Amino acid sequence: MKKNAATKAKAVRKSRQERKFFWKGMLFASPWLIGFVCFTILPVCLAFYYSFTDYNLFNDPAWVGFKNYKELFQDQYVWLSLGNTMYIVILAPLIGMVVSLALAMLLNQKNVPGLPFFRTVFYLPSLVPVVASVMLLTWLLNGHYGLVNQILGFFGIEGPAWLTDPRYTKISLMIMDAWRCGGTMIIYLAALRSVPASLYEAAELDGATGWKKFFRITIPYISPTIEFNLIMSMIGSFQYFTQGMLLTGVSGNQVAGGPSNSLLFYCLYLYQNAFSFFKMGYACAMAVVLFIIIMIATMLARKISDRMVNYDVE
Amino acid sequence: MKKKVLALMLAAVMAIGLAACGGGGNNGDQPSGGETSDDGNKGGDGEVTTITVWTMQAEDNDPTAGSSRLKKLIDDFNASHDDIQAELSYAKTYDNIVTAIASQDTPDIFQMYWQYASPLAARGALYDLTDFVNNDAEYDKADFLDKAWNLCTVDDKIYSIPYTASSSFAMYNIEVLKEAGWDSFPTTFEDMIQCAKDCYDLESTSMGMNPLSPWLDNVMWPAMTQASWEDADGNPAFDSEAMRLAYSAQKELIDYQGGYAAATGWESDFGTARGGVTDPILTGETGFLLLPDSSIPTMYNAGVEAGYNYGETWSIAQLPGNSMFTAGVYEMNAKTKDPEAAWEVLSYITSKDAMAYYAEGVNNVGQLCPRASALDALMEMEDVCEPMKQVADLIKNAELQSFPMSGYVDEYLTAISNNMTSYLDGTLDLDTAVANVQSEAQAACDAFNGN
Repeated sequence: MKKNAATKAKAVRKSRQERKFFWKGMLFASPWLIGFVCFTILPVCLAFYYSFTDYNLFNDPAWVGFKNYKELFQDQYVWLSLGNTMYIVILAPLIGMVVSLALAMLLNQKNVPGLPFFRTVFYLPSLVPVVASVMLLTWLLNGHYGLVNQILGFFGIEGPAWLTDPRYTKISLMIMDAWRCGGTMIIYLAALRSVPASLYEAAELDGATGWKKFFRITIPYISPTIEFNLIMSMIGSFQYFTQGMLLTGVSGNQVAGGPSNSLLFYCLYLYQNAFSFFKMGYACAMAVVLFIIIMIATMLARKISDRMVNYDVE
Repeated sequence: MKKKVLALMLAAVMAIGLAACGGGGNNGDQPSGGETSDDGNKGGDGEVTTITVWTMQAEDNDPTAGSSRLKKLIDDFNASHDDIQAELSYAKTYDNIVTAIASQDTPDIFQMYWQYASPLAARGALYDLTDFVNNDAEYDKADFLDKAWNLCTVDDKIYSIPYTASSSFAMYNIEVLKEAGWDSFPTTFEDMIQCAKDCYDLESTSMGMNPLSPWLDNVMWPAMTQASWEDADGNPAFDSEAMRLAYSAQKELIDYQGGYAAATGWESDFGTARGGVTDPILTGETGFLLLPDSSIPTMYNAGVEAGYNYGETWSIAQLPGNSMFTAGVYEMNAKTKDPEAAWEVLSYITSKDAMAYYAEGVNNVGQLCPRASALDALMEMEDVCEPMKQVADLIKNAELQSFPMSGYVDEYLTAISNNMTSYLDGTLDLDTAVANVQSEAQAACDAFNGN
């Protein structure tokens, strides 16, 4: 009985110490916590509230219930912009993964002279600001003077009007994104370098070929990295904005969707409603819907990856 | 004890850091307000009132750049005023400005795109400048072009002060037109379409006239057929004969010259060549283009460099029918604490002398301004090229049209752009496209009017 009381007292003492540590920890973490609450949680909550209001930035918001959401589902441009965005969401992460993984594989070779130089060169485009990249893209993909079509011309292929033909505008942007994949490439490179050489040696002894080693050892081993990059790229694609805005911006601040609205992405249309049409309540409803879509997509991706990703290597 | 003192110090540093991050609602990233009184910036005896001015232009080392000229005007103002000091902030984007004026009294004065005067004024974001403009005799309201005031006036109240002026003109290759059988640029809309076709039929050209360009797509063609976008009651009036004529003629020309894909391809191919020595007008790749005045100086210089002289190889002409007039404007925040002081600054930077100085333009090539006196000054400037002087004269004297100043202007323009582009590329027929614009614009109009 006496022993129990002593243990209890010790536990209480320990919990007091824990509380002390907790509050000290909170104190040190508070700059980030305050920032997180003020600049993330609060805006999210406010956006959720404004999505149920008629709010134009300048006047007090007026409660309208689900009106914005009802209008949103009847708005043809919401569906159009969602379609354009989904095109990017589905294709861009895959293309990005293939290109950056392929580059990382190439840059992970041993005994290649000048490897650090090549790593730097392939990483450099990711340091170029998006604005400059888009400007460069307009030159590279110019139908008449563009380098891409000139190269295609050498092989007798007539290049398309990349930037004005609605069938190619989104592909143009994905080409640019693939060119700027240096950041992802570096992550893949780090993952590839962590694959133990002994696994490849053992596989070679068993007679495994290059492709077999790639699919049976490399891919499973770096699958958590692939999962991370794919999910981050998918979320980034849902929020696709800057490239579209730069490529389609017309006079003044008027937002445009490019040829046949082929570049009217969801976030671009959201921005248009918020800042051009001053329909901030409607834009907030769009943001809430996007939040839900991203959440569901991420959960789905996680669910699928649970079956496919090998976490044993971590 | 030592640890407690250290923890307190850390907490104090953190609090200061957070306070600095907040920055208060008044200035954001502005320089400090100088010697301001307790109420923010209202000056009293011996006190200085600070007026913040936000420009969309970036800071530039070139003393002839627009932002540098504005800085010089602000410096001159500050040097000649003890009680009011103006502070200039550069590179403010449209959304920076809109979110700032929605919540605070900074900036006092800001640059803005012309089409937002009405939506912002209707939402109470802009200060009504009517009395200032009308009662300031020295300011000389009549010196401004009437067409510029049209872009600044909403419901008979002045909400903006124009500081630049712009319009579009036909720039044509004299030799190509002559070869196509046109000794001078056509003066009627129908003739212009025929001239474009004739130029296209020549072996030497790849396009008679580029019928595509975003801003021109929206409203330029209806301006040439003198269509109007609103009725007398302020409702959208897109479904009219003149409007249909404008777009059907544009579509006809697109189809004649190889279709929409060919036109967009040509735009993509040669759009980036404009203003250089390979400019399609200079080289005769096309007969003519409809372009804004800002293209003129670079094209003129490229022509001189490549031996394509103005008046011999190429020239400019007023568009048949009518053309659009637009302007860059300054506006005053409705929440400004000292409107009189803000007007002192605003009237100074848009005064006759200021605009004559501003009209010298970047690299002294000329900049169209909305004051008649500034345009007269531009026409006397030695460094300004002949075609720029010619358009200064045209913009001063020609009757030019503007898009109506409605509170839903951006939605209307977007509806036009979306649907009429779909008509031009063959996705929609004319009736459907026109009906869509009319219904979408009407919905925006009704929503704006609270119906």
